[in-house]
Amino acid sequence: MQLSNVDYSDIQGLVRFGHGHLTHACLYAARIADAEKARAWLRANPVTSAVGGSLPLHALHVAFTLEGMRKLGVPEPVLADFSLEFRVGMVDANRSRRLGDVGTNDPRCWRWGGVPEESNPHLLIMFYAESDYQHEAWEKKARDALWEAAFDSVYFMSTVRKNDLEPFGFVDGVSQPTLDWERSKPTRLRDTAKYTNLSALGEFLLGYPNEYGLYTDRPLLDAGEKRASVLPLAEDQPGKRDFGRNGTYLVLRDLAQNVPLFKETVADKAGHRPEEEIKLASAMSGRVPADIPIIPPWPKKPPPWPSGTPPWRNAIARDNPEWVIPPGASVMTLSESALQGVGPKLKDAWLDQFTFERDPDATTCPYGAHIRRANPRNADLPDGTRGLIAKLMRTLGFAREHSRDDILASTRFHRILRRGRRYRDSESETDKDGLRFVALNANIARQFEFIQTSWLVNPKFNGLNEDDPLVGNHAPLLTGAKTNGFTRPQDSGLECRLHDLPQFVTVRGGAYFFMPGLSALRYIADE
Amino acid sequence: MIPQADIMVAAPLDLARRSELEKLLKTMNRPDVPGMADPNNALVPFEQFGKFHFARFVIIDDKTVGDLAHWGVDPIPDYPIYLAFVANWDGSTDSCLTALAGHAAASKGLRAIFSFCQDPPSNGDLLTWMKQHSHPATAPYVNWIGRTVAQVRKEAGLRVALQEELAKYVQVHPDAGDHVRLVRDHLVEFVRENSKLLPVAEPTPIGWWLRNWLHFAIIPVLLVIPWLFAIDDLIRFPWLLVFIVAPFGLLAIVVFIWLLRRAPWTFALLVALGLMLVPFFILYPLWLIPVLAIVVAFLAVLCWYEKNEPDYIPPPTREHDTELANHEDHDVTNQYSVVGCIKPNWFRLALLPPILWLTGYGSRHIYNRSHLARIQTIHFARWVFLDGKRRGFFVSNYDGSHQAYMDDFINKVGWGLNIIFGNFVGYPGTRWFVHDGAKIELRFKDTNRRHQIPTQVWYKAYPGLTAFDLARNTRIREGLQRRRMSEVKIRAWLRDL
Repeated sequence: MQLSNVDYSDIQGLVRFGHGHLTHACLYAARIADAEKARAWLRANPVTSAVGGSLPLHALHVAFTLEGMRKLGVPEPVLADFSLEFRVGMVDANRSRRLGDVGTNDPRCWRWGGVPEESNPHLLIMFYAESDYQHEAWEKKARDALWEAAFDSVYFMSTVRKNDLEPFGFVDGVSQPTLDWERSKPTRLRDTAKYTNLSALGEFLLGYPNEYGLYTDRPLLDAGEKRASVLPLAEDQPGKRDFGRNGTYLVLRDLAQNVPLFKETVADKAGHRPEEEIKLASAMSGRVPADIPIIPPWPKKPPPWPSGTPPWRNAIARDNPEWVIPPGASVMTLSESALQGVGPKLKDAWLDQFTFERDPDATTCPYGAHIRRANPRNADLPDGTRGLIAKLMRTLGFAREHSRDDILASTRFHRILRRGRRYRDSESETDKDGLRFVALNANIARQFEFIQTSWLVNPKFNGLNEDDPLVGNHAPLLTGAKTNGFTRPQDSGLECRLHDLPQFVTVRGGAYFFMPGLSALRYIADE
Repeated sequence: MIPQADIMVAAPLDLARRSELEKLLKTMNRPDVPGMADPNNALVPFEQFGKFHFARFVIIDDKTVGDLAHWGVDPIPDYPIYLAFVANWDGSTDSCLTALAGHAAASKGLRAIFSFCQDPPSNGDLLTWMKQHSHPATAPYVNWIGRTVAQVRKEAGLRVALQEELAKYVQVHPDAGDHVRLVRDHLVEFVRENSKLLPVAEPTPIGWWLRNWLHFAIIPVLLVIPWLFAIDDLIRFPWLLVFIVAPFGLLAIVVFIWLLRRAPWTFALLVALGLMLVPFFILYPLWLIPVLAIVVAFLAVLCWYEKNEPDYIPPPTREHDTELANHEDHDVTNQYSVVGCIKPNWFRLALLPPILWLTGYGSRHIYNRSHLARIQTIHFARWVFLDGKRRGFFVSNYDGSHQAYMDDFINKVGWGLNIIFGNFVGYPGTRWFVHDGAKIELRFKDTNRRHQIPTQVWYKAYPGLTAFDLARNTRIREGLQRRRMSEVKIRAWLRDL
């Protein structure tokens, strides 16, 4: 099979660029009042493609829920070919239980997207700009009479401009997978023994092979079908038109973060000793807080990273002013050799060039640290599997070196592209700060839901008895056993265990969207 | 050591009264948790026996039998719908059934439940009826053979007690981390004073022990038999022994010792004996001809079937998925019941029994300590044939979500799944026996979910505990009872606490 080149003009630019350079962003979750007018609005407001050269100065993106596409007249057989989790949606009793959307996270308490159904959006309109001026100009142009007639009960989600820090004070948006745009990854499946940050395109875009070397299911139309001619041909099934090609699923979760509670708790648990506070916050997150003044600012010319950087770099940085730690540095020692898909920018290497291979007992970065849960940075086979015999032994489950060998799933099948934005709502009583969490992936069940269910909110993750210290809902087990602890393994063997952490993050809304490629968008918006 | 029995009592259901039965089974469950048994329910109060690890009532209703039409099977066989009771018990099957029949409430409850079968026990002897309808596992899997419910609970309590004692100790001795040996000594002493914290070791039933040994001996004996033919030659030409057999013997011993440190000794022995076949074939190369001929013929036939068998894998319906999901993710462990037809050709029908025999052999003698190949999340599982070995039924009790279970299947033991489940209708096509199959991710997940059936009643004796927890608790207890431990080992042991 001939692999075609990637057609950037058919992909929404958010996938490729992330728009970190566009400081203004706002999201509108809207319901469609008039389908014909909505289609007309979509035609009048072109979305931004991923064509390179220079980065766009402003950008518009749209994504639809299943109900939204139905409203806009996408035929039922096409809708029926979307994945089950997208068709059912984020709000479903069984799914809520799995995602941890219970207690205060219950969809019945959400501001939008939950229960009742009238709060569920049909589409998501995302606008990004470089300046206030551009933003206002767009608002004026786009939110015209047609908009008013096409959409109603629009839920507006603002975001803040300073976007590199999330509200708790950690650098956000690091540890992103690098997409294999050149399609250089072999599609033949082989067990890997090394963590890679290079992800197959099909993990994030439909219509391309994923990490299994296979094409994820998506709606395919007969080539002869009316209007289907605007769609690209399916790479794996010639003769079919690919509705999904260059599209992706967009998971949006509106997360409120209780910043005062977080700071208070950290201070309390650390006995109000500043150095301990930094250590504790770093342990919970796995990264050094970026808003800690001890860390010197990012230098003009960063030095090459030292090979054996000790774990508590900030303390060391204070004692050794000639060393400079970038904000958001991991508590882990950087690997000496480059990891596939990390870099080539030095800053990326500083933030991302590490695995947990050399910390099997988690005395540097706790097992329960947020970044170690969200991305365990392992491979298909346990760490350190080298040679044919070792591979054979490990495949049979023998020659285990650590009681936790084999306990985690392989990371490369569970990655997401994060495109979230921080918000601040000073008028709100309860939800002053938070994150408009956005994840892009081709298989919601295997990627976003797996990370959320099996890694973040799973109290039994990696042999622990606690859920994520930062984002977990700390719901007790069926037996009533608590899950709100946090364990920090120590070199001495005597673990340091915190108890009774409160819930810092509350889900306030969310939905699964499909962000189509530009051809499919044309198909949806055409008269 | 008390071994665990794997029990299944099943009989065809009287279909006319199915909904009535479902209603009755529902009364066994906790009102707040769908599908999860009330441990002290009136019908079968599992908890009162103290010996059930897991138990379930499941209606084996395979809605996919019609898929056989794609295989040209006509007419579609009218397989019975079974009502099955499946359980894992400390002791023998007999002792379990006897205990059930002798328990006032349970015997009444079981009579009521089994009265929905076409041939109910009615007024006859319940015990005899259950024995008649017993379906021993074709291949059982036990995460840790010999660990009883009582031991699981004791060890869980022991960990909590040690944690509390350690916290107290550290408060008094802030520098405890520098003197871990003293910490351990203190904890050992603490347990010595509170010996009730330790589980009571029970003697292994001699009959089971003997049978288990003989069972294990089957394959080593088969591997040694060829040498019986060689004895005469070796006596006549001792130089053969010195120059050909002895070097390999030495190699086998080295390999055996190397493996001992990395794998169960049973596996090491099998590999060493297998290695000794090499010098045998060097001495008698002609014997290779029939062996190779069988292997080549097998591969050729396998390859032909792999290429020519139909590939019909529709996705599960949304309703079916919801029905299954309703009973999932309430506890840290989930149940799984799946049923399917074996591919209706002589090759698959003949291939599966020996494969399952080997699976049972492997899990009994090699994978009997906390992991099945790379999977550490399965507590108990069993394969069993139904309807004259034309259908197969598989149940398991696993930790984590269904997605995570599928992920383990695909990425960690896909090869093993392919060898076993590749013989079932609807399984994604395999290549050379072990390749593809499960790795065809979405089709594998589809077929898995579609063949899965709801489990009406499910009991777990230790909610909140995963197999990893159980293994860790056992490690903690074993660490206490070890005479000597290096400082490094003590630190690792303390980390488990």
